[in-house]
Amino acid sequence: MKNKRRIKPKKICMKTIFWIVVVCIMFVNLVPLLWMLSASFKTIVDIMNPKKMFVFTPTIKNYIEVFTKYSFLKPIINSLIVSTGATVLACLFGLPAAYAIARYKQNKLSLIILAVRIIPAITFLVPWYIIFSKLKMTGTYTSLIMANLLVSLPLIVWIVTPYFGSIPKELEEAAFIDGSSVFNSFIRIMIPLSAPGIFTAAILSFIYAWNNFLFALILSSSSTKTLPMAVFNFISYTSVNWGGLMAAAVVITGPVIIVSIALQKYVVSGLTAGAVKG
Amino acid sequence: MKKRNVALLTGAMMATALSVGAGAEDAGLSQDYAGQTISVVVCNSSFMEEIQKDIGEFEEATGINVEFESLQDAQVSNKVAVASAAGGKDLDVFGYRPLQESLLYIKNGWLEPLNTYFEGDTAFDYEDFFESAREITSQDGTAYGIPYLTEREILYLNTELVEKAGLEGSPKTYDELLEWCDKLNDPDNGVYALALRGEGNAAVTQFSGFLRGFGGDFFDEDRNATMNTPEAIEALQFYGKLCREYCAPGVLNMNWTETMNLFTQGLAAMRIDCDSQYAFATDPEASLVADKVGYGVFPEGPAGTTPFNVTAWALGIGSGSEHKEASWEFVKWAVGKDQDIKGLVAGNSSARTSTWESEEAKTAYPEQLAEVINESNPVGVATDRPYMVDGGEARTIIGELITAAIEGISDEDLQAKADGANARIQALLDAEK
Repeated sequence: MKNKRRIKPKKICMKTIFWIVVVCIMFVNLVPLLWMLSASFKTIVDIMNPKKMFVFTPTIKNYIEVFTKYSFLKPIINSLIVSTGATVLACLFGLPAAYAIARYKQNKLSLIILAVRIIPAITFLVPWYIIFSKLKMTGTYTSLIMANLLVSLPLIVWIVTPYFGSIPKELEEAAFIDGSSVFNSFIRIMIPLSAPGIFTAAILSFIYAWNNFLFALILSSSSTKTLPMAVFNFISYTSVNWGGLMAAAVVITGPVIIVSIALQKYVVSGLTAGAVKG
Repeated sequence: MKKRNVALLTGAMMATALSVGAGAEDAGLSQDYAGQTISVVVCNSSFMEEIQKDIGEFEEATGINVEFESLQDAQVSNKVAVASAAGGKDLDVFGYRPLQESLLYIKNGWLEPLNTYFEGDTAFDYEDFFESAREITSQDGTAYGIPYLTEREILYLNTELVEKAGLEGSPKTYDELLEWCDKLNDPDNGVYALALRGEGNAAVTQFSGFLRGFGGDFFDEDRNATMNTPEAIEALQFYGKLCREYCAPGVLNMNWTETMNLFTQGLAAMRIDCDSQYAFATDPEASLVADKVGYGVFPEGPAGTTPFNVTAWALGIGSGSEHKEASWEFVKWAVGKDQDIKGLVAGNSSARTSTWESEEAKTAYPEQLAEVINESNPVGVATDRPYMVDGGEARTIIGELITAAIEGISDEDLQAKADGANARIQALLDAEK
């Protein structure tokens, strides 16, 4: 009994500290988001007015402007096409590659793939641009998707390889004995068992492509412009439309937050599992 | 007229050629390049918003398709640099900042010489552009760009606060400016006398007016850097004092958007920056002081009245373009007299004399601002930053000096810093010889 009493205050103390830390972290992370959300419902003059920080007359003018004056629908569709395209292709090429690296210990190959990721992306831009320009492909979805693959592919390969490596070989051998081909066991055993890792990698790759600005700046045209580029339409040489900018930021962040929350379970288990077993 | 043209265009191709001819002739546009597609990359501004709205009219009149892309200033440079370095085949018309890009772009051969396009074109009237604007977009008599956005360093005043302090008009000299600052500064109530750019690199342009006002400059005619002269030190200390003593806290991080917000919220009585941003201050949706904005000419220093009067943006045609004639049709229309007036009404500070003299200009611009602009134009200095190929680097070096001055260091320490900075700028200048 005495012992328990001594531990109790300590426990309470630890819990308090834990929650203080949680609240602090939440505060730091959420305040900018909440500010963005509230600013998107204000006029410019109210955004800059500290007195109207919390109490203000909300307006949806900014959102209307985002979709009418700045025609944001097209960039949203463009971003979806590019991000999904890059992620799907990266999985298509990256998963078999990761499998091969894990099963046949092709560590040199994986290092080469990582090297591509380490070199700053801007290094590739001019060559990419020249090649696409020669092929008359600048401003196409294909060029944007291929450029994004440069980042997505290594990401997928490196996150998924330890997963495949951690699955006991015996499982596959059992399948082989039953007459399964390598391809079949890859599809039916390896992929389902590594789903959390694959989800994590796919979401990260999607978010990266969704937010990528540099590739889009150089390789997109007015009709294939993606969201991160469209956001800058609100910043002009002689004025900044803060309200519209914040509304646009909400529109951009929204889908990513929703996707991340929906798949959070997989992402978290994916990240920790990868960290421990990889 | 235009609606009729649309109907005819969709109706019968042959018939349109004749009828559009009539409509396009007024603007001197040609149908010779119909079917070509040109790509245009420019910087977001009120002028370009107008262009984007009316682009359909141009496409109808000429049959040229325009891929129009409007970006933020630094992004335009990046895109132009990458595309031009790769041959520039995909880039036809682009906006550029003559003061920091002309020399580099011309040196690299990225800009198409334009003289042959506009010579003899009385409707376009190249001579109509301000002389200083034509000069800064030309080299050795060859024009490489057509200017469309100019700006001057002026004084914005909050008339309510000025009246409250018992003041009238605007400060005419640096001494008067200090007097006004003393009277208007009211930090206890959160109101500061001045809003001035204090973020080193950004401040260089606004600082240039003071530097020249004290008789200094970034470098002399023989390209000897002069940032360590007594005049330059005096100007740095003066600018530093203004920022330190009369600007809101956090001035070291302020660029034009921050000083504009302080002014529009009524928290700064005066603001020194470009006149091109006036529309933001007088927009009731963006400004609490929309109906209390006054304007004044940049005050006179010991060496005279020396605000900058610069060409901030110009349109050029890429030398690698495969549709140069069609591109010129676009440039001719975009910065032609009619479209230029539309731009002015939307808030753009034009580079055309005829636009400023037009009827529209009299009503579109606040009267007092128009007066200030007319007064600033003849005395203005054509550059607001070190005009050299590596101007960006030089600007960073000068920015560091401004930061040091605002932080408030002694004359001796500043002199030592300036000596070092001057040597670095000299090295850059020498490398360009």
